[in-house]
Amino acid sequence: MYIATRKKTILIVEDDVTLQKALTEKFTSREFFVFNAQDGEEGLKVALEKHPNLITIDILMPKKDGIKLMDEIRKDTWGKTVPIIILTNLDADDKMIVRINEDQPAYYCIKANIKIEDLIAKAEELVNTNNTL
Amino acid sequence: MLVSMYSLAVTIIAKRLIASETWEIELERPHNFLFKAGQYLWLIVPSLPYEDLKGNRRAFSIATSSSKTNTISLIFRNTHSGYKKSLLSLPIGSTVNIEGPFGSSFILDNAHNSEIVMIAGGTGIAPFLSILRTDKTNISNRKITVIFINSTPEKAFYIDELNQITQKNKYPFINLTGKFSEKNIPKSIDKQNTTFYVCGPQGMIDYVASVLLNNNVSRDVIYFESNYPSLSKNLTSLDITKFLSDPDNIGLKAIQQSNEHIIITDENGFVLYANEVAQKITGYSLEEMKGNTPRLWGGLMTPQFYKELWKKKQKGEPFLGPITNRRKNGEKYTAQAHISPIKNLAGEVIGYIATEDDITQRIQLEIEIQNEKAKTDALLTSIGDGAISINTEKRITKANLSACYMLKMKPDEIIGKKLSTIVKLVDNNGNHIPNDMRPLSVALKGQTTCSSTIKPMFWYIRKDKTKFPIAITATPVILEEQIIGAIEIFRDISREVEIDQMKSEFISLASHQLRSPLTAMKWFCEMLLNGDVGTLSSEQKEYTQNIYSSNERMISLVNSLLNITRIESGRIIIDPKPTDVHNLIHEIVTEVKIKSNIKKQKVIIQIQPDLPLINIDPKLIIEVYSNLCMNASKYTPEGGTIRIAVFQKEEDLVSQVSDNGYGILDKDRNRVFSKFFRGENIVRIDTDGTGLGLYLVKTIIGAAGGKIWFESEEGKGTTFWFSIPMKGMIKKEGNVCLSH
Repeated sequence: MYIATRKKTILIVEDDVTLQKALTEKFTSREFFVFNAQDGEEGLKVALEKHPNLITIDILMPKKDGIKLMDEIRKDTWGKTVPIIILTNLDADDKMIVRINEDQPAYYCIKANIKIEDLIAKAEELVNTNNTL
Repeated sequence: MLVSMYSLAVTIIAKRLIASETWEIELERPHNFLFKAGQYLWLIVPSLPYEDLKGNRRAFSIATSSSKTNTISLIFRNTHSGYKKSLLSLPIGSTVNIEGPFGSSFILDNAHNSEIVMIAGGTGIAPFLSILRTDKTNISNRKITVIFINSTPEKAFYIDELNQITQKNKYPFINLTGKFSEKNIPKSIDKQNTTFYVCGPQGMIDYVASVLLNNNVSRDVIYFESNYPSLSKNLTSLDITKFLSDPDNIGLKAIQQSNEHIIITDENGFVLYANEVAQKITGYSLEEMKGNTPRLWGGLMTPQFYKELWKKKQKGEPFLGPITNRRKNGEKYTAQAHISPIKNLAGEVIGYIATEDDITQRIQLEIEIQNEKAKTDALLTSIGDGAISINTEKRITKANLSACYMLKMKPDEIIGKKLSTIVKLVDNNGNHIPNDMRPLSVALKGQTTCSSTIKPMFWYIRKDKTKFPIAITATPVILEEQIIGAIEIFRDISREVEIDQMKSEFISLASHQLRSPLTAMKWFCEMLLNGDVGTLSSEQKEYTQNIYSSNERMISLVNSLLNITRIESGRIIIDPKPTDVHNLIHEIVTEVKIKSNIKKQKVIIQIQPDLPLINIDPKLIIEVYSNLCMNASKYTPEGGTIRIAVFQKEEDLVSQVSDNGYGILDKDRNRVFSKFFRGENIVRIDTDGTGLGLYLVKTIIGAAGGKIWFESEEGKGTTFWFSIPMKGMIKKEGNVCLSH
C-alpha cells in the first residue's frame, strides 16, 4: 500500500538538545522522518503545518508547556486523533495524569525510566495502530 | 487543762467598797470549787427585790489568786442595776448560787515562757489581778507588762495593789487615762514572741486588737476575753437550759449525735451547749466552752467582721459564711458557719444555734484549683497557637493573646461574642463554611476536628478582609458526660503552606533537572551497546555496560529519593482497589525470576488459596513485595532459596519473604529500616544499593496501617513479615504517585 511504504513522520518537541539528538538519530535510523521543535510554540506551528503521524512532547519547555501544547493540538480537527507521547522527566501530579489519561491516544512516560528501544517500539505500535483506524 | 464546773450554794462572807462605786464581795470557797487565775463565775441571787429585766444572774471575774485560798473575791462596779442593787442588799452570811468556773483564755501554764502584755480596760483588770496575785511559781520566769486603760481615773480600782505588785516584780505598768494607741505598745518587746492578753468591754477589745494588728502583731498571739459576759435573761434562757437538761428529749439526742458541729448559745452568745463533733473540731471540752463565747476558738477575723456578725445576730437574721477559727492546739481551720436565732413563742431571740462545716480541705482544693487555673491561663496565654473556647450557646468565653493577635482584635471585642460574627471561615475554594459545620460547632456535637498542618482546609477571613490558612483542632469540653463547651486551637499555617509549595516545586525541578542528563547517558549508552554507531569491541562494550549500569543506579536513586519525599510530605495518593493477591504475587515473581534465574535461585510460593480480594493500592504494595523479593535475591548466594508466603491471620493479611542468604548482623538490627542504611556485611558483597528500599517499604506499610518485622541470622538467612489489615487501606487524596 502507498501509505505503508511511505516514511512515517514524527515531531519531537524537546528543548534539551542532547536528548533531541539521541531521539532524532534513533527515530531516523528506524525509518521515521523526524521534525524537531525546541519549544511549545514552535511545536504547535510545526505540528499544524506538517501533520506528523506521531508527536512526542516534553512538559517543561520554554514559551509554552507540553500540556498546553497538547490542549491546543487537540483543538485542531487533524490534531484530535494524532497519537501523542508525553515524554518527560517531570513527575506529573494527579491532575496532569488524569488529563493525559483522558486524552486518548496519548501516553505518558518518564524519559529516565524508559529504554530508547522500548520507546521506538511504542512509537511504531502507535503509528501502525493509528493508520489502520 | 480541764476545769470542772459546778453549781453551788455559797455564803457571802465580806462586802467592801474598794473604790468609788466599786465593790468587792468575798464568798466562801467550797472545797470542790476549783479554779485557775483569770477565770470567772456566774453569781445567781436568790431573788430580785429590785427588778431587773436581765434576770438574776451575772458573770464576775474571780479576783482571787487561786483555788488554794478559802475565799473567792469578786469585783464589780455598782451600775445601780436591779441585779446589783439586789446583790448588795444581801446581808453577810446570805446564800447565793455560783456556777462556774468559766473562761480559759488566760490560764497560764509552765509550758510557755513567752513575754506577756496584759491590756485591761475597766474591770477587765480583774482576771489579770487574779493572775498577778497568783503563786509566783506559775509566772516567775515570765516578763509581764501591764497596761490598764481607765476612762474614768477616779474610779480606778486596785491601783495601789497593782503598783505594788508591778514594782515588786519590776513589771512595767502603764496606767492610761486616754485611748490606747500604738505609742503604748512597749518598744522593747518582740512582737512575734509575746502573748497579748486583752480583757475589757467588747468595744475596747475590738479597738485594742485593731491597733495591735495594725502594728504587725500577729493575730495568733492575741488572746482576748470580753468581761461583763454576764446576763442571760432568766426567763428566756431557761427554756434552752431546760431543753438541754432533759436527757430524754429526742431533739437534744439528735443534736448530740449529729455529724455536724452544733453549738447552742444564749442570746448573748455564751455557749450553753456543744455537741461532741463541735468539741472534737474545736478541741475544747464543753466545760471549757461553757460561759465563753465562740470567740474562744474564733477571733481571727477582723473586728469589722464580728461587728457585722453581731449586728446580724441581734436583728435575728441568720448568718451564713466562711469563718476562720483556731483549734485549741493552735491549728487554724476554715468553716462554713451558719448561725440562726432561736426564738421563743413571743418571737424574742432567746439564743442561737450555730453549725460549722469544716471546709479547710475544700478551701485547700479551691486554692489548688485556682493555682491550676492560673497555670492553665498562663499556658494558654503563652502558647503561640490561637486558643478560643465557647460555651454551649456558641459564645466565646475565652481567647488567648495569640488568637487576638492573629484575628487582629482586642480581647474585649471577642469575649462574649459569637465566633461567627467575629471571623468568617472559608474552605480552599473560598466557599463560606456554614456556622453549624464549623469545627467548634461540630465539637459541640461531640466530634473532634483535626485539620492538616501542611495542607490547608480552612481559611479565616478577618474583619479587614485579609485571609490566612489555618490548621484547626477543635474538641468538645466534657464534664460528667455533658458537653459544656468547646475549645479550638488554631495556627496560622501560611508559612507551612509556602514551604510545602516550595518543596513541591523543588521536587519537580530536581526530578526534571537530575533526570535529563541521566536520560541522555542512558540512551546514548544504549545506542552504543546496540551497535547503532558501529560494532564495539568486547572491551568497549564492557566499559559502556558499566557506565550504563552505574547510570541506572543513579536513576533508581533519584526515583527512590523522589518517592520518599512524596510519602514523607503526605502528598502520596493512596488509591485502594479490590486486588487479587495471587495475581499480584504472580506479577512480582515474574520480575524477580529474571534476577533469581541468573543466580540459579529457587523461588517457592505459598499463598493461602481461599484469600478474598483485598482492598489495597496495588502500586504501593507491589513496591513493598518487589523491594523485599529483590533484596532476598540480591543478598542470597547462587543456588539459594527464596520463599514467599501469604496467609490470613486473624484480622490481618500477613506476607512473608524469606531467604537463606547472608543475613543481617546483630548490631545492624535497629538500623535496618533507617534511611540510607546498608548492612556492613552487604556493602562488602554488593556495592549496588541505595539504602532506601527498606525505608520506603516501612513507610508504605506504615501508611497502609500495617506492621513490618523480621528475623535474621548472619550467614543463615533472613525472613521479613509484613501485615496489612484485611479491611484494607484507606483511600487518600494526594497529588503524586510513586515513580517506578
